[in-house]
Amino acid sequence: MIDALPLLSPAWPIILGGLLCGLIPWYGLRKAVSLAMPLIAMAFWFSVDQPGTFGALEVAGFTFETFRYDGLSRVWGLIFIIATFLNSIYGLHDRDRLQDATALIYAGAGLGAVFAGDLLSLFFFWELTAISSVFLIWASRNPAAFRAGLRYLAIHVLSGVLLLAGSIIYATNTGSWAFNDIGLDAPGGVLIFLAFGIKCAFPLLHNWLQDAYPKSTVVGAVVLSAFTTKLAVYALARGFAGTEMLIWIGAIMTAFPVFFAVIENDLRKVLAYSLNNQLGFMVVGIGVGTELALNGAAAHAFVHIIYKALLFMSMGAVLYRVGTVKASALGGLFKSMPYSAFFCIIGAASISAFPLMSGFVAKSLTLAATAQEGHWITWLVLVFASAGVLEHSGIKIPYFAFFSHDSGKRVKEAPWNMLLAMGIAAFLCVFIGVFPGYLYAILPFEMDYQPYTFDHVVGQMQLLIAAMFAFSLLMRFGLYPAERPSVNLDTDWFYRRMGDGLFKWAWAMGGRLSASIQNRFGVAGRALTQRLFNLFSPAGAMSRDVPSGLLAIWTSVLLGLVMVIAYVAG
Amino acid sequence: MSETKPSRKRKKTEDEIHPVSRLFLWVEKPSVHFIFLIFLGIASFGLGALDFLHHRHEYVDWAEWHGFYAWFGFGGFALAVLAGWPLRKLIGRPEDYYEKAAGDD
Repeated sequence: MIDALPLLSPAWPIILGGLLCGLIPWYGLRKAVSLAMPLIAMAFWFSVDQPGTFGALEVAGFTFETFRYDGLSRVWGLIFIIATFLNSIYGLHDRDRLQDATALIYAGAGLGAVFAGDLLSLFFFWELTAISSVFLIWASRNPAAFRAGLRYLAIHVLSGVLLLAGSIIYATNTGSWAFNDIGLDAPGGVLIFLAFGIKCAFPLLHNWLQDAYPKSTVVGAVVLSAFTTKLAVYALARGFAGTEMLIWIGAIMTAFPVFFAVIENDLRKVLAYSLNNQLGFMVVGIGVGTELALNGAAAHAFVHIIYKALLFMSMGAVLYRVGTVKASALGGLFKSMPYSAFFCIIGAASISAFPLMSGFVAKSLTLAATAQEGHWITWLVLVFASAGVLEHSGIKIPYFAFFSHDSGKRVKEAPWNMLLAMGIAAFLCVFIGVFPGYLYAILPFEMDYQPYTFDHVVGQMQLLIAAMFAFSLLMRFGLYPAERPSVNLDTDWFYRRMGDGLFKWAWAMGGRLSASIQNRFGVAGRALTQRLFNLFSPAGAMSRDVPSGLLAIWTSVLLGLVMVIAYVAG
Repeated sequence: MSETKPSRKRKKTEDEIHPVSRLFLWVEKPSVHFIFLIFLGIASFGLGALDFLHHRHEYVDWAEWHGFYAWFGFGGFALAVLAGWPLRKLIGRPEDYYEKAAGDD
């Protein structure tokens, strides 16, 4: 029956499902669609048995390659479909129609980008992920989420603009729109690299992630955790494999979030930092660029999507029942949410790479490849980051939410659908850890790798048990920084505080200048300042409020630049 | 003698404990925490000592030192946690820090 299916990208049924969900007012039917469409997408994925490019669309003389199925896109496509299905189960209790629709469109856009064979198709789906996903942040329906969503959207549209500009330059100079190996030396390569880097949350470009994800809804954060950043990892693996700079970028990405996560009070923000750390491992693998390393990046992305979703699900369950995920307000929840606690521990053990868990069989590929190629400093950083992962995701998340001091909060266990989604994710974490052969079989390159050697198991257990010993000692002697209600400055300070301050200063200076002009030039001066006010004031034509207006202006400027570049290049 | 208010409240929260969780209430006992600490200490040294019995083969020479991963795990973890103290002083701000500035959060 599967053979009879047309060779279409699995993205289409999911996007169609999203559009339908936007139109269907009946909750039950909407949920049926959101469950059925990933299954249909899965059937589409299984219907292809040979690598190739399918589903070409001719539009205005340009051929959009919407379904390029090969070793790399295959593994990413599969995990995106699995994640979509799990997300649909997790969100079954939620009656938000807009969220149902945008979650599916976003997932479909991610899939579409993964299967895109040319840069224009990639750009289309790339932008669609940005535009659809922002609704998952806005779905929280509070001012903080709205502003964070605007910042998120501006940054991601900027990523899209850079991708388009780079693609135009690349295609004009090479005569090809094909999305294959690009490299930094290619015309437009740096712009495309930056576009991918923004979405991948490279250091200094990372803070949109910690800013936006924790402000999303219970379901939204789970959905967001799966697609955007892993799509960027895929794009880097496709276009920039073996780029040495990525080794250093990835190493920094693994290490710096560890320090931020220790003092972070919002546990979903801790997970966002943890996401950064995990992406670092994948980026290092892509930078190393050998077959083993690229397999490592792909395997890590696969298992990471599952255990990170599981961790976000468990914190989502806590948020849903308790109303907060601030570590300072939690503790002792295992007494009322034992199943959620158990699944959270499975996710924590997986991300920490305990033997028999999925992280163990995936992360070791990247570490082995890095050491094999003689990148010793990077390897050392990765080993440190592995201990760091145990700190923030392995211990901090389950410990401060479910154990630690008893907050006295007694709530209901998570709804059945949340538990089911967590249960399936937890099962996959263990299954892949115990039977890694199934994962290895779908990786881009064939390999002969045995994760369960005496040396590897003993080495990893040394690292983890000694790190747990350090945690116990630090807690016993009161040396672990207590969880406190606070925020920590990160790079978002530059645009949320310094940029805002600069704007206010410039506004005050502008006021003085305006007064001075009026005094000096009388009526003509007043007319000029009035016109400027009408144009640039917060209520003026250029913007309605400060952050969105400014960012929109900059985005427009960049879009204009793209058009100029396209014109000159053409 | 009638029960005091705090003890009534404690009894109420104890009544609300999930039946499955009741099986694991022992994890809260301080004595269990202490035993766990001792266990982890012994396990760390034991796993490190395994290197004296079996030579681990590594791509990086110095990773073959006895107990390398144990020392590195302990040291790396402690560094990350202890760095939190000065880091919090440096970048920690009140919870309403951005709210004051822009009506955010």
